[in-house]
Amino acid sequence: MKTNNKFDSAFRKRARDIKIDPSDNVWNSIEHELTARKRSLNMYILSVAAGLILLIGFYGLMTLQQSKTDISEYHVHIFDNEADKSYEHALLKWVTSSHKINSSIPPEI
Amino acid sequence: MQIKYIKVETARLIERCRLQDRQAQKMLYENYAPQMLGLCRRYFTNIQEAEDALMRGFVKVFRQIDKLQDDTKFEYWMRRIMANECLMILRKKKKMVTTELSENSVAPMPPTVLDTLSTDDILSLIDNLPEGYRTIFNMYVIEGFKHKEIAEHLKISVNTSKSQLIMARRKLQQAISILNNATNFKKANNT
Repeated sequence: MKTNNKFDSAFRKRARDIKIDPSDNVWNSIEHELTARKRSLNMYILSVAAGLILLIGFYGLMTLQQSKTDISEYHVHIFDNEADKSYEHALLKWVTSSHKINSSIPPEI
Repeated sequence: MQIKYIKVETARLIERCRLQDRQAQKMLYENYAPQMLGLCRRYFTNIQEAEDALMRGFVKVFRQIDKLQDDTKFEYWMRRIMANECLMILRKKKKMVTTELSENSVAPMPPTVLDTLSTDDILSLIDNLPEGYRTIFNMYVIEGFKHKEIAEHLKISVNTSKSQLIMARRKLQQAISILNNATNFKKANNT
């Protein structure tokens, strides 16, 4: 057993000393592998970002559509019940007027 | 308490490699590649296969460098990665042949004889071992794997690993004796 240990340790010492210079294309292959991986990682990040932007855009569009529907439903609800077409006309004019910022008071009935 | 040292330069390179600094990666590669190719070459008889293992090993080292927790163990960690890459290639090729053997005593061999051999002699001694013996000898004697680990890696039994190691030692000692006798014979003839 002791002889084995001595033999092993002597061999280990010699074998670990072995150094061989690799050819130049080894580093080139390593660099290529690392760059290819970085590129594919970038593509992954880009596609996830694009997907997120699309999702947010779609959600925003849907929300806008929904709010428009709500407003029009609200208008229909008020004016159908009031049935005051001239007031509706005046109110719409006030809403769409370019001076609405200055005139904060809605027209009177 | 055992104190471990690491060169300041290596520590800095490792730190820069964690940031995927290509220049640092190249410098670290240049520092360790000859030593690591020496390791890989011991598993394969031809240099192309050894370089392939070296390339895969370094790619893994740079990709997984964040997993290295203790920088003082960098070389040990890298040696393990390289050895695992060699084993993976060998496993893919399914070239490993292992045979069950009963445990026999090994003829005593003075280790000092090894000191008289050149690096090329050492390499050719390892090359001449059958693939199975060579792999287990490399893993156990040179890389310091345990028989249990070898058995798990190579999907063999612990006893097979032990018997292959015994046979590898025996073959190496026989070859060294022959080489030594031939050298002595040459020397005697010259004088």
